[in-house]
Amino acid sequence: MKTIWLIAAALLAVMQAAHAQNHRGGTLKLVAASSDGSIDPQVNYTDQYWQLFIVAYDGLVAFRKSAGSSSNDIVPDLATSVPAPQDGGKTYVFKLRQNIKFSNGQPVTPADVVASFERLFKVNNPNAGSWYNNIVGGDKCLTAPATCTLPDGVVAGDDGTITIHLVKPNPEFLYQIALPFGAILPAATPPHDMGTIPIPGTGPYAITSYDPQKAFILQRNPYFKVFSPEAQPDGYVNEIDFEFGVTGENAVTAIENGQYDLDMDPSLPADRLAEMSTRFPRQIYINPLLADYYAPMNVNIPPFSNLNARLAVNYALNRRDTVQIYGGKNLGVPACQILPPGFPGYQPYCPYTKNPGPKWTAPDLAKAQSYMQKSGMAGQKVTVITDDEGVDPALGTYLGSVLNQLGFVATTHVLSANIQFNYIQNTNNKVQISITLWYDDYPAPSDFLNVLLTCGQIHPGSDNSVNIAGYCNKQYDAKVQAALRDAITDPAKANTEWAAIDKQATDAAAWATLFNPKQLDFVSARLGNYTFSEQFHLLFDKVWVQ
Amino acid sequence: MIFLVLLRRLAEMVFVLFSISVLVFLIFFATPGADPAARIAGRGASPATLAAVRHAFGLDQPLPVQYGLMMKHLFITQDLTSFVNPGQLVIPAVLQAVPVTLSLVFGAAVIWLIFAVAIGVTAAALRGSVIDRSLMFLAMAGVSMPVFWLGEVANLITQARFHNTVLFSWVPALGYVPLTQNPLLWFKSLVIPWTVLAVTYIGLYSRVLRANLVEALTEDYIRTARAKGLSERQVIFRHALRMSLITLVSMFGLDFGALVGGGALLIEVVCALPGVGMLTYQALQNLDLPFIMATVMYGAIFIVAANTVVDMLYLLIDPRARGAR
Amino acid sequence: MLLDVQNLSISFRTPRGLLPVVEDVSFQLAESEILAIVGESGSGKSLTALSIMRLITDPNAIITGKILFKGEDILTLKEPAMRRLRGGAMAMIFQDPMTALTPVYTIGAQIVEQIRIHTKLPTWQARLRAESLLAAMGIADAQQISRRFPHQLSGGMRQRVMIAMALSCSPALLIADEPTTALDVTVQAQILELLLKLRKEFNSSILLITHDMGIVAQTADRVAVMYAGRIAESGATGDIFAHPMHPYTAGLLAAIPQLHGPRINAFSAIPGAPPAPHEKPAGCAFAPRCAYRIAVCAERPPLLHGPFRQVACFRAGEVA
Repeated sequence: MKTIWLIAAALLAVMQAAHAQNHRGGTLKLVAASSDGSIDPQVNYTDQYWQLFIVAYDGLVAFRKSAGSSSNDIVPDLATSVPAPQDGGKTYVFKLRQNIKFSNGQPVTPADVVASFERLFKVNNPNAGSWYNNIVGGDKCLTAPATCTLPDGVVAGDDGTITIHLVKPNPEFLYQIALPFGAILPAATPPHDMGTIPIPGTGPYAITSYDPQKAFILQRNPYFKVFSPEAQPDGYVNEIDFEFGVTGENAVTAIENGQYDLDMDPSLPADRLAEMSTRFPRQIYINPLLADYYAPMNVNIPPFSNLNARLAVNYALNRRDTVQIYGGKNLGVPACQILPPGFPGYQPYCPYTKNPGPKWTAPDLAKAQSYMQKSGMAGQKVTVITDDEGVDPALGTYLGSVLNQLGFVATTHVLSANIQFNYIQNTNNKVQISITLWYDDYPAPSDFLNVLLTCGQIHPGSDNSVNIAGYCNKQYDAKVQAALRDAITDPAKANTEWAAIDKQATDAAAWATLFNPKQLDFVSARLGNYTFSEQFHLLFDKVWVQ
Repeated sequence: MIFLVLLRRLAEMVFVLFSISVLVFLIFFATPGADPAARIAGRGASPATLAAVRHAFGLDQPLPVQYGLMMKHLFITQDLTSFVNPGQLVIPAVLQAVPVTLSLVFGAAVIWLIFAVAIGVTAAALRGSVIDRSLMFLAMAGVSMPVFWLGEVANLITQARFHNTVLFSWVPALGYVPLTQNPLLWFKSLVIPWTVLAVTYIGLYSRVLRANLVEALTEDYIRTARAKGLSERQVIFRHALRMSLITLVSMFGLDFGALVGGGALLIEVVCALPGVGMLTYQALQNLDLPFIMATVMYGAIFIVAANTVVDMLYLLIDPRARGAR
Repeated sequence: MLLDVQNLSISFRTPRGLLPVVEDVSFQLAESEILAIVGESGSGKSLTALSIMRLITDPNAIITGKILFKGEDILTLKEPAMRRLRGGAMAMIFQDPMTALTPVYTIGAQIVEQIRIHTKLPTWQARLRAESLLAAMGIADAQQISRRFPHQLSGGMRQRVMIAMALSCSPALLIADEPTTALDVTVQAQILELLLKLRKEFNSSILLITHDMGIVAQTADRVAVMYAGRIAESGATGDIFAHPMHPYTAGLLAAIPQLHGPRINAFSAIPGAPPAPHEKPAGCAFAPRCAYRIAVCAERPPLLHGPFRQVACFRAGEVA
């Protein structure tokens, strides 16, 4: 009996291996309307390029490359294991794996790790001032980035260990170094944004060329051997070609013709959805995103400095209509609160509906009108600022019509997507209400509740002031700090605290949350083994094309 | 004599370039939200990071200094780099895009000239007839169709709906293949863009040519030509058309110059051709000031040059312009 | 008889109906003869000339009658045959020399073009012929001139070029439509002299269209006077001038300003104006302005009668 099982298992393994061998090879062809900035993993902050960096570079730890919620877990990558924090959460000791080479043949040493962390400051990484300055010596590096050293922050030991000392305990530290920003690069990498010049990495693929007008090419890294299959599998395709210059409608047609495998642009033209879903249903994949489509309301200038006005908007909004505009109920779920579902600490909560409870069902126009009357803001002029990408103009127009129905005098302005996000952040522009989107960086509630709604995230007169609503409440801040502290020692307690903070933020109505969008991927017929990571979306080293 | 004229044109060109560059610069910095520092620094960058980025890119200098530096990098040291893709040299990127635009515009020009002359002459020769009216109606339709709409419709037909039929299965994927790499593929991928770009101009030029011809045919010298015993065809081609060419050549020179200088932007974007127009479009979308400046300057140079060439050509084809003797 | 025009009528189809512009015109032109057709603007004389060359391109024109050129009715000729005649055996020069030449070709090239249509001469020979023609027209330095463009020449020069070009293929008939109207008086005299020389040296017949009685007196052997699309009177020049028999002819002659004689400062004009083509009266078109009119003049148009001297008037003999 046992023998039969053994033989069966052996056969299965052989078949799987043969199966795997059969799928190896080919070129994955990606397309987008235009390129998206630098290929320096410590500078580029776009989801598009992160999907490519994660198959070319490794950090000390990484997010597991899998589908489902396990893709939010931290697994060891260049480090042998994920260390537990010591010293009250202020110290992490990593043991670097041996015999790993960069794609230029050089071995990975602790010196490279130290240099990579110092380089974060030298290249002015966007979060150097908010995340990485928590490393001891980080604040000093911020003031003099060119000569940054972290002698007390990142210490290379003789035994191949790297010890990182933090100023304050940070439960999200491992997340922050698992992102492409935490990539370990050769120490000799020049200390400035490399722009279009590829940097050698340790992943299964290496960037071989980048022409922002033409294409972004990755090919197999000849020095790669699988050292952590959960963090960095081998990959089936031999090459990844990411071409630029084909706009939305044409990209969909090209994928239908089999000329490309995936469109990397954030949204597909809404008018092709019906065609795609009827003629190519097996090539469509829909996955939930940890993201909010929302309308922040400036709580510091009229009319939305008045709480009643904000409540009126929240009760009047028909969130189902916004989902329809976005593409229908398969592509979005109406939402009222700040945290998206799937986050640790998420408790469904929706006060702004006819029957308050966990879900949104219908707008409550009666309540909206009564709040509107109480606010006395009828007749106020309001400008809705939206951008010109995808369905955002339509969402802006819809929001304007809701405001008009309430009694405001609303107009909608559409700005170029390239400037809208910075424009609505700058307090000098006195933006009253806008349409925007926030994706998580990593699955921690603070990424929404701390980053978007605390006093410290307001920078008046700056293009980077990501608390767009300008919501500043000392009590709220204190609660956030408490939750952050508790997350180190008691994550479960922290989660309940986060749920309460979410409720409070939702009740403060600094936002009108619209819905949680889902990711629609339209792939070519030949693409197989589609694997969607909740953190990084489609995993390129998991798919095959033949 | 010619030398002096050219010298004066050169001076005019420098003045035009200066004015345009200043205008572009000022418009860019006057646009709210266009400040490159925040976008370069990345989402949610802290004020310290923002300040560091601003300093690294020289964005904390006064505007005239920034302008001077940009002009120096563009024209003198020729090492101007992009804001959006740091390290990417602007001038080689523009020069790389030029052959694409040239391929597109040359091919389209050949097509539109041939068809415009054929249609214009036919319509003028058969003026008043049903054929004349139909041709002019079609020409009007051609002029009225926006080129980006026509391009998308062409893509819809040739890439999507009828891609798998005999008619269009030869149409390759959208994009550009260099002539030196694969001449046949270069040709096949340009046929549709050539046609789309030519349609508007065929419509315009055939209507103008027909009007010019019909007017020329009422002139006295045409009566003399007929009185000499020339056939109607000889009269139209040798005399009327030759005279109408004067207007046509000046129109063509200006249109061609504008197209090569980046005016083919819409068709390049729709057909995924990485030419100068596409570069301009992306630069504008990304608010990449160095690229915007470079492509605008390139366009201005070309248009001024085209104007000059047209004026020179004028002297060649119209003896009356050579000055009284 | 070189040219025999019989009952030529030209009408135009208009929204208002058929418009008769030339009615029942007949005249003859012998070899080496100069016939002048005189009339006011709108009398139909230019159209008559154009119809002989069949250069009327208006599709709404209806031309009836017979035009016998060297015995052949050219109104029935097919177009290719007509083209052989045009510029060959019959040539025409026009009123305004300033606009009659194509601006973008040289003088020489335009003359050579005509020569090469009608002869088999090679280009270099045609060029030489053009230059000798220009010289014969009194143009000094013909070689240089033939390389110039029309805008570089004066009006008088251009008219000489037109004449040279018209003569390039030795036409038997030269039609000159008001050749001097647009030129200075001094140049006018030169051109007229040239025309007279042509008759002698080239043996051409000339059909001279003009409104100027003075030119008629100087150059024409015979003259036909046109009024409102019809011929009023025709005959030998001397005869007509000495004894005009049609009241209109008499009026024209009387209207010539006198430099000598009793009434130096008096201008005698014919009262009224010619009728527009669509307003022609039923009877004689001149009757409303005629001092000699009688009742029958308003009823039906008078016909031309007489062998050598033809007059279309009921009271022909009574005109003083």
